[in-house]
Amino acid sequence: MPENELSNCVRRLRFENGQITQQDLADRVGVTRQTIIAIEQGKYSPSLPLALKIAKTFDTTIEKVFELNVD
Amino acid sequence: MNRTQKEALGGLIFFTVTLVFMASILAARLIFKKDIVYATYFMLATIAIMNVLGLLYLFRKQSPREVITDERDKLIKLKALFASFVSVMILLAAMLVTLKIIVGIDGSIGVWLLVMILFGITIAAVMVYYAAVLILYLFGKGNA
Repeated sequence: MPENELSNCVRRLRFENGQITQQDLADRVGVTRQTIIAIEQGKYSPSLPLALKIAKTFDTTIEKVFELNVD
Repeated sequence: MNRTQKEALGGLIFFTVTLVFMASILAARLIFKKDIVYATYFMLATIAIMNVLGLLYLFRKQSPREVITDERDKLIKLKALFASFVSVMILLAAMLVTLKIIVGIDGSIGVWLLVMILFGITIAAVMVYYAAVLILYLFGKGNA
């Protein structure tokens, strides 16, 4: 069975959008800072509502933040 | 460290201390045939103090808008709960095998000892839960 891996550019977007801190982003989307760290490191794939909230925070679409890599 | 990690760390320390005290009192009674009354009082006092200190530490917010728990915490707690359940099953099986070896299939043990063993298993299961939470936070990959 192929393994699906979700890559993202949350870290880059944080810096491009006024250097938002991980804590700020976490507060805005309603999660803990540890979850943002895990998402950035690719250790955690967020739920659809959370992914949408992150995309909305950066005023962009979900496809531009997250990308599915199928091996 | 978020609230879930603090809870897990605090709980792990608290229950480890409780288990050590329990084991000491049990060992004193079984091996040396002595009841350590002061140790029991000391244990209860230590547990009470740790509870108060732990609660003060846990409920201190790092920022006014700090989120207490989120979707990843829930997932980690669910996995830790499963690990805890499996550990209870293993410990109960180990307890039955050990008792069969020591007292035989028709043997008997004191009610107080059975209560102590079951209480010990419960504490061990809670410790497994907290340890699993910490491990999943540190090394969890994929969706852990």
